[in-house]
Amino acid sequence: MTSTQSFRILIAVTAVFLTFPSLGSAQQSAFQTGNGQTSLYLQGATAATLNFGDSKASFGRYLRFSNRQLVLGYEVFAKASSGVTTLLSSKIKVPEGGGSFVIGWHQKVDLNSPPPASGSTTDQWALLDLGYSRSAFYVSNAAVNPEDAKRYFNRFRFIGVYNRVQGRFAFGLAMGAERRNNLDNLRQITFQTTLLPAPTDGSTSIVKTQSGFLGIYDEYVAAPVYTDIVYLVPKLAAPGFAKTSIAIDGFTRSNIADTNRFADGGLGIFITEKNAPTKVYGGITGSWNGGKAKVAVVASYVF
Amino acid sequence: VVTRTLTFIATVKSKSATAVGLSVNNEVLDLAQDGETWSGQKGVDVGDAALVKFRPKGLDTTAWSVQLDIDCPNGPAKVLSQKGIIGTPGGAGFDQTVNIKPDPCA
Repeated sequence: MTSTQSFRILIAVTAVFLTFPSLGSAQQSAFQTGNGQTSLYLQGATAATLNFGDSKASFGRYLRFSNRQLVLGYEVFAKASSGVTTLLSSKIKVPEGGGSFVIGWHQKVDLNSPPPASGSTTDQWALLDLGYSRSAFYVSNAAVNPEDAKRYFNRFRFIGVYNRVQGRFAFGLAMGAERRNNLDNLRQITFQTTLLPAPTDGSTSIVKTQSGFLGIYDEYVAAPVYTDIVYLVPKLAAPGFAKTSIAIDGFTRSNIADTNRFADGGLGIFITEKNAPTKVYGGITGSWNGGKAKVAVVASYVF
Repeated sequence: VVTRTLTFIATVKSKSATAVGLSVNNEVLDLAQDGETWSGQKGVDVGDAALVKFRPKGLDTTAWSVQLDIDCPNGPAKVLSQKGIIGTPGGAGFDQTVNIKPDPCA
C-alpha cells in the first residue's frame, strides 16, 4: 500500500466517523496542553476542540450506558499545515491526521448506598486508548531537493488511563507507549530551490521555498506519562461572564523512556460553563521544560 | 394491593455528569447517553407506590434534572420531576417513594 493510499483510507475513516457520530464515543477533555495532550477523558458530551498551540482540531464522542461498565469512544483529529491556527505560533506546522479508539471500564453507580449529605460525588474509570496518525514533512541533514527530503511518519499509541473525580477535583493518570520522531529537536529551516536564476545583468531570481527540518532524523518508542489535577475554583467566574466558572489544571507531561527522556510541567487556567464543569470554553496553559517556557491557547466547542 | 407491570420512561439531562443511575422498585433502568441526555425505559411490577432511586456522578457544580414518566397509549404520564446540583445538599441524588394511581394512564 502506498503512502497516498494510506492517507486516503485515513481520511475516509475520519469522514465516516464525522458522518455517523453515533458509531462510537470517548473524547479526551479540552483540559489539555499546547501539544494536545491530556490524561483526562471526561465524557459527557460530543465535543470539538481547537488547540491553537498545536494547530490541532479534534472531534470525539462517548458511548455510555448507565447500567453497563463498558465504555467505548473515539476521537479523530487533524493538524493544519497552515491557516488561521498558525497565526499564534512560529513553529513549523506538520500536517497530521489520525484518530484513536477507546475502550474501558466505568465504575457502576451504586444505588443501594444513600446519597452523601454533602451532595458531592465520587466517580472513577479506566481506559485503553489505541491511536494511529500519519504525518508528512521535509527533513534532511544536507542541502537536497525538497522532494528528496519528504518523509511520512506513522504514529502509533497505546495508552492506559485512570481518571477519578471527587468533589471539586478531577485527577488523571495516563501512561503507555507511543512511536514518536525527533522533529522537535531539529532545526527549522527553509529549503530553497531556484526555478529561474538571476540573469547575468540582474540580481532577481525566482525561487520556490519549502519549510522543513535540518538534522539527523530519528524515530523511537517513547513511554509517556501524563498527569492532571483539575480544581474547580468556587464562586469565581470569568470577568464579565457571570455564567462561567474557572478551573485550574496542574499537569505534568513526561517521557520516561531512555530516548529523549524529559519531564515537563505546567499550569492551565480554563473557563467552563457554569454548572457544567466539563464543558470547557477554552483556556490558556503555561508549561516549562528544561528552563524553556511555552504558552498555548485552547478553544473548545461542546455540542 | 393490585400489582401490575408498568413501563417507566426515564430522562436525565446533564451537560457534565460522568455517570447516572436510576431504579424503580430496585429494578435498574439502563439509560443510554446521547450527548447531554440519558434515557431509557423498563417494565416494572408496581402496586400503589414505587420507590425511585436516582444517583448522578460528576464534579461539584454539575447540574442535572431527571424526569420519570409512565408509558401510556395517549402519551407519557408524569411520575416525578427533580433538579439538583452536585456538591450542594440533595445534589448527589435521592430516594423517593411516589404514589401510583390505580389507573395512571387515565
